[in-house]
Amino acid sequence: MSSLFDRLLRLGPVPDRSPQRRPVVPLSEMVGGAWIENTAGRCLRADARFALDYAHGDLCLRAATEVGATLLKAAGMGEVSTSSLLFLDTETTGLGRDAGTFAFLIGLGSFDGTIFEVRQYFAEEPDDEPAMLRELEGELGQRATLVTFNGVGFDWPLLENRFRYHGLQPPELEGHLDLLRWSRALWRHVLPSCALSSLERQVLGVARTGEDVPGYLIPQLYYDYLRTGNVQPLVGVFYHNLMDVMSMACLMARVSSQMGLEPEPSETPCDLLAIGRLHERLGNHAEARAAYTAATRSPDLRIAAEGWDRYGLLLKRLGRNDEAAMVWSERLEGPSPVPFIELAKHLEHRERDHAAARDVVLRGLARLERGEIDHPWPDDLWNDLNYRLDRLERRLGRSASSAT
Amino acid sequence: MSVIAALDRLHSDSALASGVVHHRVAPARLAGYAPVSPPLNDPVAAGLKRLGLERLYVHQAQALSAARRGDDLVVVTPTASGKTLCYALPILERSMIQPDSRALLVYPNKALAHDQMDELATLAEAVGAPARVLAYDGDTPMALRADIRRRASLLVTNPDMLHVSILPHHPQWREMLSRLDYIVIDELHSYRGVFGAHVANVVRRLQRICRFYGSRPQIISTSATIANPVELTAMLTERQPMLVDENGAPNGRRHIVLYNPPLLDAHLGIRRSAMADARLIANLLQQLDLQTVVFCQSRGGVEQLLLELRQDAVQAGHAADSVRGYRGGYLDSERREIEQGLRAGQVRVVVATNALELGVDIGGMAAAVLVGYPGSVASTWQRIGRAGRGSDDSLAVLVATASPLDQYIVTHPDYLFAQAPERGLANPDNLHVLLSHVRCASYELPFAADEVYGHEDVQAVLAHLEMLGELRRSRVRWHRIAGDYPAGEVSLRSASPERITILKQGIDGEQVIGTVDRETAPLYVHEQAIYLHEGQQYLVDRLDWPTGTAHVHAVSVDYFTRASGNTTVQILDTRREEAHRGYVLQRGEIELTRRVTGFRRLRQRTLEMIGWGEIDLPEQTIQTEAMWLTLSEELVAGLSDAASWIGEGSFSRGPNWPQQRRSVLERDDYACRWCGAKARPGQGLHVHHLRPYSTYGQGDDSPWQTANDLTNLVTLCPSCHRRAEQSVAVRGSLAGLGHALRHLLPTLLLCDPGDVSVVSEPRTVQTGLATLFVYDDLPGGVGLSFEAMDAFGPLIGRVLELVEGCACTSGCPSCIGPVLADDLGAKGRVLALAERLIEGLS
Repeated sequence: MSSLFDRLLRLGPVPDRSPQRRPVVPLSEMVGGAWIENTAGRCLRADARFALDYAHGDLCLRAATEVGATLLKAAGMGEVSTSSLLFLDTETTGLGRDAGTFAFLIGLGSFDGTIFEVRQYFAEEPDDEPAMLRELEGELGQRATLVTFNGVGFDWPLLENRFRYHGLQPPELEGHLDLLRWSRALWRHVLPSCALSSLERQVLGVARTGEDVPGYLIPQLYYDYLRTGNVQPLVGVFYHNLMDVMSMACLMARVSSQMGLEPEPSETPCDLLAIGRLHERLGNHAEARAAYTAATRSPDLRIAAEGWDRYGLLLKRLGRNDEAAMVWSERLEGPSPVPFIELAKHLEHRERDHAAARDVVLRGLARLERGEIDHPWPDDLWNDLNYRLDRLERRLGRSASSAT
Repeated sequence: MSVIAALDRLHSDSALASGVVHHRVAPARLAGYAPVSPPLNDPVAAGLKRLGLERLYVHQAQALSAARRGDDLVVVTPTASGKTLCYALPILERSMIQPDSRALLVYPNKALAHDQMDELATLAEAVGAPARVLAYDGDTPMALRADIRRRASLLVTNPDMLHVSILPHHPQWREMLSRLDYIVIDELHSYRGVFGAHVANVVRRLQRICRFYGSRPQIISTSATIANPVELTAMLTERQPMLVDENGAPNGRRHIVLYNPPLLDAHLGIRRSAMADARLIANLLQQLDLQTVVFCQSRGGVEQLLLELRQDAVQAGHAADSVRGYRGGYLDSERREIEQGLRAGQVRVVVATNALELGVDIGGMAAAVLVGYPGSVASTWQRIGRAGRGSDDSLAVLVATASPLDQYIVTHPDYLFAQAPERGLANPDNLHVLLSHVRCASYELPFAADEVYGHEDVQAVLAHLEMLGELRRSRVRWHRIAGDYPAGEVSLRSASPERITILKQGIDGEQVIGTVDRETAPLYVHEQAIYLHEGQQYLVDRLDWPTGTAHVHAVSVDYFTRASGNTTVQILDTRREEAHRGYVLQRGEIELTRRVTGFRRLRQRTLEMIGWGEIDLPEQTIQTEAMWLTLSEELVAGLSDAASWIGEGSFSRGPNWPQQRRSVLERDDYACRWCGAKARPGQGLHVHHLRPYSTYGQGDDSPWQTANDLTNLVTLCPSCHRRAEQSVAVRGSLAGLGHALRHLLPTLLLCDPGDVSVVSEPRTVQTGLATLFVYDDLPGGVGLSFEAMDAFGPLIGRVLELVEGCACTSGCPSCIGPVLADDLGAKGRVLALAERLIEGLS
């Protein structure tokens, strides 16, 4: 009778690499950290401090404290000061939402007087996770508003699960600012990608050093480390996480200054229409108007035209119909069909001047025929304008016959 | 009464009457009711009343009382006895007291789950329970899943979904799992063999996660009638359930007919085909307008009979779609439509595999025809139970095939009527299965350094996984560090996780018509195979192994294809050995390598071979458990003295034989390849076929090209040739014995046909002796062949009984398997061998 051991061996070949952990260069030395202990166990903590005038890419860290309020206000966190924000980024063993995925490195950043400090908590063993979570809980006790990049969809639910997994109650947040959402709203149409690495290059001017490791490799690097005890590759993971946290601080500043229409270097991608739409969605009408107005001055005629359209539509939404009509009547020479349609509607339904409305529609049709109007589906526009024309003609016919 | 009319016709019809070998009437049963105490509360009682359920049957009342007490239980009653209520009532009662209580209901397949979900929702609504019944399976749209996780109070799912989706994502299911009061395992008897071993481990993992969230749900199982429902439930759930088996549901009188197709040639033991006679019987039932379910043993059988019954229906002036097929591999939507058609009555005949054996609601049929013995008493009664509508009489006809098992059953009716049904077995500690699930479990929750799982030493298994680099032991736990998703790699249903998708080429591109297991794909969808689906023939144009797709187009031909191949065995480990006189029985582990190498085209009905081809597909290797019988040289020598061991062999060897023969002699330098002897005056040399010529087919169309290929030919001297032929004969006898033995195994131990296979080797690689292997046809094995060794004596006894009693003269498919036309001594040799084995038993 063969033993369980023999039978297991027969199920498949065992690679000739027993899990020998190589002599460990103390990790604490490699990443400049120290072991800390709490009631839940121990974990490694590595700190990094930066003066506020430290330039991370094009921006100084100070920028976030200077202009961050705009974004906080827009996000409905007007009363929160930048010093009570906790910037959070995790490195995990995967991207899934399943039970086998956990965070092994939690990077936390905060503004503290004259410095920006990043504290990185690391689980040398998966067993260290509870101690790390306990530290996070303590940090959130002091600063309970999170700033993350995709933290609403990924980092925070994952951490909440891990708290519960270890039988702990997840801490309550006072607020959560997810910069991915804001970045998408601002740059979706002008950047090929809104991944943090892409934003770093395109809007922050950050270039990472060769120390960095690509994000997709990180889970495997951690597993390799667990298997071999070799800490070298982890240095890159710590660097990657540190850069992510610092970039979040700068990204917050950049998002904020764009929303506040602050002057920016001309090469910074800036989608004024997106800024206006964002403000409009948030109910900040004055800011939205300012952004649309800025867009009308764009050298790109289409952007300028859409700026006018948005501006006029905003006026209409606010019930300022006469002002909107003024905008439309001045824009009838532009490439957009919106002024024709809106002005015709205004004349037909508000002014009840069917003849004037018909003239506007006829003018629009003439320009459409000459190919002077931009519209993704010109046939639809053609049908739409003709439908309107027919109705106006009918009404004019009726009123003419009733007059005679 | 048309059932009586059908019986009259069966007994009097000139073509059929002689086949009726047994007719038994199962008497009608009256309903048995029982009260529950405390009684059902008013809204529940009123709700049930509205559904026409005035009183509870005995088993329903017993189940409710036991569940209320907090017991785990298993309910064992026949098809259509109101089993659903046995678990629905306690769950709904609980949800009315405690609306945040949760229940998880596991059904073996989606079709059944959806069917039951509707029934449960109707019940919940009728009694006014605040229970939301929702299904969560592979068909559930991603967009709805989060909502279902939050809202479902009764979650309807299947073991596969539990395994691959729910358990690995358990944090998302926290609320449900921490409030889980009931787990229902419906049709528990379907979890046997390797599937059962997998499901048992899924249940282990589920209970492990429940412990983590602090819940300990009660487990209510239901099962068809098997010999050991309590034991099987305990194997699957690791709980000792209370047994509820006092059936209170009424049923009408049931006529059961055993039918053996009449002999066409008594000498050769050839009977009329079961399919042909089943077709006659089904048509007779149609003339009397009896709605009928016809069960076939294989998918191919379903398609074949469907084709024929449809033609018959059309000729009789009925709509072609009054006859439908039903089997695995049909799309779900198609199946639902057929179920609906059966309930509504437009579908008059359904030809099905065991897919219709479980509780899918198709309404009661008036008649059931079983083409072939389903392989177990339990299954037979499940299928017979499909016939029966209320208190009306019903009819079930079991049509025996020529297989030894079927012949045994119809000639020993008491086996079916008097014998207890088989035992259901699952071996959750099968190492192959266990290892897979320890991987999955370690992903879901790290194992503690002192944790126990199953009956094997899980800590040793974890250490093994550490050696493979998948786990790492930290101070107190084992953490998975492989960075994978182990549940995705493990399929509960078969050894190979992937399936081959069958794509039909139509006018508007390709369309999926079904799927087939990767393991069996080489047999059914190799290139140039004829694949049948819904009665339509398809020719396989291309089998793309790497992408797992078979491309087919519809054809109409008068032949079918049958693939063949070879198997080699290597003994890995001998765990037990019994020496008998003249032979040794051993059991242990073996490695089998199977390769499908070619196929034949056979004309429909006449089975005449009209062509053949080669198949070039990867070979498949499995390691499994086996018992084997090794004959000593003395026994073989004794037998060959006693009987004629050399076939007459006077048949033609094809037109190129003289030329090939000369080439071989030349190649082998005119010397015997075994002993080196040269030709000398008075003694010429022979040229021997390594694989016997006759096994390549007979008649003028025989593929002599392959049989006479130089690689199949070897030069031998006459005495070596005699030994070679003797080995062929031994192989033939062992194969004949194996044929009978394999088919009779299910009469002694529980197994599904196909769970156990047999292969004989005239000389094994290791011992050089003639050996017969009986092995579990599933990776890792489930213990079936091990049991066969314990039952070897009685088994050989039954073999002898069957072979002696068979009407043929020299062997036939119903006893020792197909015999070559010119081999008149085959049956005698198998009998002689069986007798020696019985004499030798010590």
